[in-house]
Amino acid sequence: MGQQAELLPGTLDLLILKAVSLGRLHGYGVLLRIEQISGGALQIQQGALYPALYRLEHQGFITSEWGTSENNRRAKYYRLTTTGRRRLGQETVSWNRLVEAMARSLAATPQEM
Amino acid sequence: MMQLLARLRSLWRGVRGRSDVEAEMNEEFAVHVEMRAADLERSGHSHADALRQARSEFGSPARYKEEARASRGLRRIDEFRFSWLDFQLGFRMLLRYPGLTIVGSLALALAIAVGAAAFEIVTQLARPKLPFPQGDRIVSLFSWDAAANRKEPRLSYDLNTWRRDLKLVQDLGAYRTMRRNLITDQGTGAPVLVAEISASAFRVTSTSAMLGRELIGADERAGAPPVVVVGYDVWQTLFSGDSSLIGRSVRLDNMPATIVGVMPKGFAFPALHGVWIPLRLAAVQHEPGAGPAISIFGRLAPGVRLAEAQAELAVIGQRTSADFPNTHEHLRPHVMGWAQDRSPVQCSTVSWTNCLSLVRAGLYTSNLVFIVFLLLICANVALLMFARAAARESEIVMRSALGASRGRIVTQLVAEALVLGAVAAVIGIAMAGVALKVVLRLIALEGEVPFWWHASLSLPSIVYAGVLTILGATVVGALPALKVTRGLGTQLRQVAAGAGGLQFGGIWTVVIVAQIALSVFLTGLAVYSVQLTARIASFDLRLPAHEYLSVRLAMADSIPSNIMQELKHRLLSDPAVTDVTFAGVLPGGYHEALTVEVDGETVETTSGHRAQTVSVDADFFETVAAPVLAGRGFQSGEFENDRNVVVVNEAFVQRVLGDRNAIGRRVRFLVSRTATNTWGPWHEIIGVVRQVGMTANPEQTTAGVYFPLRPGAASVHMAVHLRSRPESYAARLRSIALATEPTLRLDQVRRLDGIKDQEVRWYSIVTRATFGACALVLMLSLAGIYSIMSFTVSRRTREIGIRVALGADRRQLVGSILARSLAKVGSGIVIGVALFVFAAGGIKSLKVGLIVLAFTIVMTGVCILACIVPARRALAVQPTEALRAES
Repeated sequence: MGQQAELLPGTLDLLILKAVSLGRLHGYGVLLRIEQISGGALQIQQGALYPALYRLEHQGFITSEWGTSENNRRAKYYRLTTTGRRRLGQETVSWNRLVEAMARSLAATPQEM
Repeated sequence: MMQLLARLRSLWRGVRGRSDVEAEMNEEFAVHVEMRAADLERSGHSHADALRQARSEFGSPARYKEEARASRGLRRIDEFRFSWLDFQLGFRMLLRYPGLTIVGSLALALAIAVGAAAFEIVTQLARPKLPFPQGDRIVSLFSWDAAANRKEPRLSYDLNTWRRDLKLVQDLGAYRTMRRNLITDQGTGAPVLVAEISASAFRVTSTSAMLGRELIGADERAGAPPVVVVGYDVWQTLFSGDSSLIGRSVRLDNMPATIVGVMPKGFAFPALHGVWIPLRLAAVQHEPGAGPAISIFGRLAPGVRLAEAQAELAVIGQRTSADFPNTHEHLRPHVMGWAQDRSPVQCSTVSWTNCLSLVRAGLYTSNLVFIVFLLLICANVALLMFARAAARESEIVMRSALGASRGRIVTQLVAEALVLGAVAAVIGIAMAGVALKVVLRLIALEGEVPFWWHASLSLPSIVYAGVLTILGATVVGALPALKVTRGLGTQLRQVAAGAGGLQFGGIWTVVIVAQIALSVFLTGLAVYSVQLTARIASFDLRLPAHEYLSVRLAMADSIPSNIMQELKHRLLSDPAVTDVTFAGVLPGGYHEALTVEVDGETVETTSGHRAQTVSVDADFFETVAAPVLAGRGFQSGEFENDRNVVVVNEAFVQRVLGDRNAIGRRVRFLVSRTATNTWGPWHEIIGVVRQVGMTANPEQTTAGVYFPLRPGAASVHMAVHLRSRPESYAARLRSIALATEPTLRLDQVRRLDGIKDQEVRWYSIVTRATFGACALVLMLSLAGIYSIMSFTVSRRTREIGIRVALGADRRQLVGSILARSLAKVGSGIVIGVALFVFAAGGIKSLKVGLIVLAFTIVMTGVCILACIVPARRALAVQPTEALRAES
């Protein structure tokens, strides 16, 4: 496991959207997927995922349905909606813009001033 | 849009199925923990260990659930959920503040009662219901004459046609109404309303006789023995509830009949009938448009709607119109709910359906007035609740500091108001029942009431009362709660700093002043009304009225003079009777007032004097002890010939003629007051009589004119002067009258001084209602003043304490506290008195003035009382304490 990074406020929603954009997932699955795609760098307090999931569902970005899990257990699966996909796109663009700006700012040297 | 839908769906799920959502979350969390535990087990943990670690990693499910509800926007809704504790607290508040409980619940109860009673009346008017099984399927069938714009009553031919061709309305029957004397085999009798009716009436109403049998088809055949079925009331009053009356012989006027049955209590179909005899229409086959006037009823066939029956009837009507253009060209048959057709609220056009729905809408809209009344009362009770909430300010601020949101506090205060409202609703519903009884009695004073009118609240009205209660309680609870909780944060700081934050707004001052004004005005009105009632009650008839029996005589057409003379003769031969006289109206009854013109003077010079008029017979003046003071009374010839003569009373001479000689002068009367006034013929004054009471009124004396009583009236009053108690003579009078003429109907048999009772009863009901309203407004405003004053003064405790500490004069301080309150009360009283003076044209009597004065004293007293208790408390505060509290 690599070095762990602290999750910035507001970024959990973006991560969930990204995770479910790769296929329908149950809550625990979302958690594993985030760990997987972040290379284990991002870890989330397990239960904290759910208020975010419900919020996104309430906002119409994801939708849920009950299904059967890989070990034959009834589980609730989440899927990205069209609105959610659009949102993910917008958020990704703005995130990248922020990261770029931050990186540029932090890389500044006295010579450039 | 999609997003909005998703939000609404999620919100709705959360609100509706709170426990379902909760269960889903639990399941989802459990699955999560299980999956994590399974992973941990695979990486070498024991099962129990894995489960423990998975749970610990997951965190607190309760917290996530709470956060989840918040993220769905459900927390706000949760705040407005009532808990059982809120209501328990409400009950405790009822006991802790008994004054508010009594005043608030009574005021709300009154508003709920008035609203519910009005709703019930409107419902009974707009959608009357017959109290029979499926009573709404009983219908009235009638024929509308489109040319004459009225109902065509001669329907014998149509009844036969409809009976033969109409399939969607069954058990068609008809009736006509007549008033008859029901004379028992003992010779006693009383006038009754008779329905000559088809036997199918009893099938249509699904009602059987309680004794014997109802009418049957065989009774309708020509030559069948004459039978009669009597109603419960007739059975009780005329036969004293004798259970062996079946088979007894009676007479209806001259027609003998045998009683075959008694109908159960409350049955009065078609409308207000007490006796039923068979209708024998089949005996004669009437031509179209001929035969007696009848009304037709029937019952909708099972499953048939009114509109379908109407359609079928219209087709039959068109056929009849084509077959008999002479009589039926303009006739359009209609079918309508039975009670609806007899409702006082009617449409006089052919497009009934549209008109009816409009009329109904109009009727139901009238409820708005009572909703506004409720809101007005609520505003008052809200004021009291505000004072209570303000007194609990520290508790509320504390709760807020402990984390209760504003919504939660408002919800709790609304719950308290709901408890108060529930008490009010119970009282209000009981009061509405009483109010309905009073209204029904008032209507019954003026005329008879159809049997489907009832003085109890139906289920919809009770539900409506519930809605009013919730509306009222919400206003009463939410208004003060919102005001008290506004800016809780600021208050929190102020309380921490030791200062009170709440203030009464100017709007409450206006409400209080307006209310005091209204209660002064209403008190004045009520006192005035009491005086009026007392004056009418003590109206001097100027004759020993307690020695007379008064009775109204009536016959189907007109009363022949020989019958009147025969009756008089028989009565006078009874040693108990000293005198008998006839008149159109008797002293104390309502005399028509007409504008007089005196010959040789214009109406202007007599300033349009009005005189009360009555027709009397020759013995009238002698019988009522009104001696002729000048000229003469009527002579026998003057009752038949067309010589126009009148006798006037003393007041007429005095007021209309200015005490000049009356005999020989000519007067005439305005008979129709239109654009072109129509005057009657000139009449010569032949005599002047001593003043005798006419219409009972507060003025006591009125100008009066007597005309000779001409024969031919359908009804006339008779006064019988007796040697001993008139009440005990009533039965004898009836039997003498029945022996004289069986068709002569006697009603309103009472002592002569009882005539004015009806007028008095009306006034006393009005007076009582005014007093009731007055008491309510007074109670509300006194409670309002008390709570505002004591609240305001207790707010200033610290300030007063400090002022005393700094050496302020105590008397001056109390004065300044009182001045503000007294100014409010004073301005209210001044406005109220001004209103009353404006409306009543000046305070006419010393008594009213005294009442207003007494009122002022009481109001001021209450005001002082309200201030004195907290003011004393404030003055008693030790200066050091006051200063310490401030520091």
